[in-house]
Amino acid sequence: MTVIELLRHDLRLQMRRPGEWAALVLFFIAIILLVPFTVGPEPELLRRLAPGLIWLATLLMSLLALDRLFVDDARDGTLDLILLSPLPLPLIVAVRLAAQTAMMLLALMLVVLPAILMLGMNVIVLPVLALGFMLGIPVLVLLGGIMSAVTISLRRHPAMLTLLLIPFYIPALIFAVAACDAVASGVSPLPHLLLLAAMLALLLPTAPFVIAAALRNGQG
Amino acid sequence: MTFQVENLACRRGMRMVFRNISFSLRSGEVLLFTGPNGSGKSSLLRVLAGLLPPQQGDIRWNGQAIDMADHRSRLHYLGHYDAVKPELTVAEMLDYWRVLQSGSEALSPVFGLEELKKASIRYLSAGQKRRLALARLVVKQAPLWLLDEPLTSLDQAGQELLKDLVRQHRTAGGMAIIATHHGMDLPGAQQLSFAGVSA
Amino acid sequence: MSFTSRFANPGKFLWLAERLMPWFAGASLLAFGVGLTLTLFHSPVDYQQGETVRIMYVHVPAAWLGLMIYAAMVVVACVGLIMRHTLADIFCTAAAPVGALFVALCLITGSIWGHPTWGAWWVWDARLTSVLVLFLIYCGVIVLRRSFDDHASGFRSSAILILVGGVNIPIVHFSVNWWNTLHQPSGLLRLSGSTVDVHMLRPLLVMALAYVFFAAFLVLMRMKTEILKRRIEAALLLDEDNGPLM
Repeated sequence: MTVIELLRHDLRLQMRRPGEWAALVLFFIAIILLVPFTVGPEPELLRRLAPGLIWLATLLMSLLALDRLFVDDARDGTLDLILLSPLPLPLIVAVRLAAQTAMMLLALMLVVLPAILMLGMNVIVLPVLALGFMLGIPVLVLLGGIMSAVTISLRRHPAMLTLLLIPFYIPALIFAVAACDAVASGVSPLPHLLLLAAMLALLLPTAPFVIAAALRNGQG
Repeated sequence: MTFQVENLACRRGMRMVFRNISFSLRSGEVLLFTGPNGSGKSSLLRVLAGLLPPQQGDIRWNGQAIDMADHRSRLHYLGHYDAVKPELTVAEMLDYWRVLQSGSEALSPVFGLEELKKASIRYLSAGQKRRLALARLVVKQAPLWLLDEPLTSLDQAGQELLKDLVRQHRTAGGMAIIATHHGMDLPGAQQLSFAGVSA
Repeated sequence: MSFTSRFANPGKFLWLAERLMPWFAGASLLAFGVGLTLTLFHSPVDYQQGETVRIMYVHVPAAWLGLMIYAAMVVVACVGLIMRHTLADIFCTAAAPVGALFVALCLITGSIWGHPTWGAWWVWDARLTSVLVLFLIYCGVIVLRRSFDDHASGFRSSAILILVGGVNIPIVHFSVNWWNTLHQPSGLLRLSGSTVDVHMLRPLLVMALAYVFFAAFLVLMRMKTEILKRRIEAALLLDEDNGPLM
């Protein structure tokens, strides 16, 4: 099936660039590693900050990973082929976003355990953190995809993508971390997770179309 | 089949890249864009491919204004870049192009790349990568070919093969628009010359 | 299908703008005169905050204008994407910095207003934080639009950003409120102060009206400048002889 073949191609491409993903993973670890040197090693403090720090590192990592989405194709002419393809553009975009989400989740699986250990995060938070990732990473990727597509024809200004994305990342960050904090204090994380899920429900059907429109326009 | 263009103009930022472009092309005909680099040949090809919106002008296929989706499906566009991924093997790359272009059969590597099927594209020379890109032209029938500097990096044999391809395409009723600053020896080709531009 | 370079409509608009601008300028001066008088001499003093509550009359309408201008940009961006009219681009390019200006004013006056009470220049109060995010959204829109040399694709990309940002604003507002209630430190004085009584409402509305007139004046002036700038661009384009030989 076309979707499977597209997905296989996108994943294959990502997996064959281990250096770039290693850099992202390292960046995540660096943030977690450096924080205790800034706020002090007090276990109680680190435990309380843990979910927030992990999500912050995740957010920044996802920001850096955005170039993996469309920029490479824009540079080598593949984007032209994609735009000329008879396949529906939102479909191609959706598959690309799915592949990116999968890679991010894979990368996170590698670093989350060490991060939890280093910060002494409460173990009961882990399932909610994982659920938060499953809801939140697609949200970050979808939002990042929109901004990446909107700026696709511009010379790479790394600061611009950050500026554009901060207002959009904030709600997701709030809900994801609130869920973790809730379960850590013995309260239900459900309201926060539902809000995160609502964001995903809003973005999932609309983002591929918005991104397709932005990519088509980007060649102008 | 006819492909007509009237009074086409294109603007990029502060620059009027080209203006007052009109021509008409019929089955079996070839149009060459000649002129120095930066004179607007590439932009015009991108406008004709529907990748760039024109500032003004009409594009018509068989007398009718073009519908973008239909138009895209009846053309092949070969740009400056080869659109090859160094991480893939030749076979994988061709397979992806097949999926992307909704081709029905597996692409066969042409131009002497058969033995390199399993080779990683990273190790191909510039000429081999260009030949690989040319393979896209062969897989699916499309009446309109838009080629931007197709001879780049090709050796003598490669250039002959391209000319053969174009010849076969014309005989089958297709038309081709080719931008080249080398000039190409094709019988009966129309020419559109782009004057040099200030930067 | 293509983005027109004829300036017939912007020309008519220019004529209209020239006629309207003096009225808006006059009206805003008048409204400011009345508003400031009401603010300084005819509005009640707050029990806890004393005279400093008067900053509210500058701070709150600024937030309203920041939102109103963005809402206008959303509507115009929609219309512009559908109808492909140059004027939509000109409006959005002109209005965004004006909106950002009002938001910045809101932030600065908010900071000044809160300082005596908080003892600090910034507090992560729900409304101030929301307004700060709105300011970032405005900055993003401005920066994005300026990065495009090409007007047609620049408008389309920034229109998409404006629309997506417009959907995001209520989400951010809601989420920041959510966040604030979760982390409510004790004794934080909310900037909105006590319930608004009718004596406060009148100066607020008059000031808001003054802001609206002033914003309209600024936006029209910027639109006029932008139209003239594009005329010069077009003239320069026609001057260059870089078409192909035919």
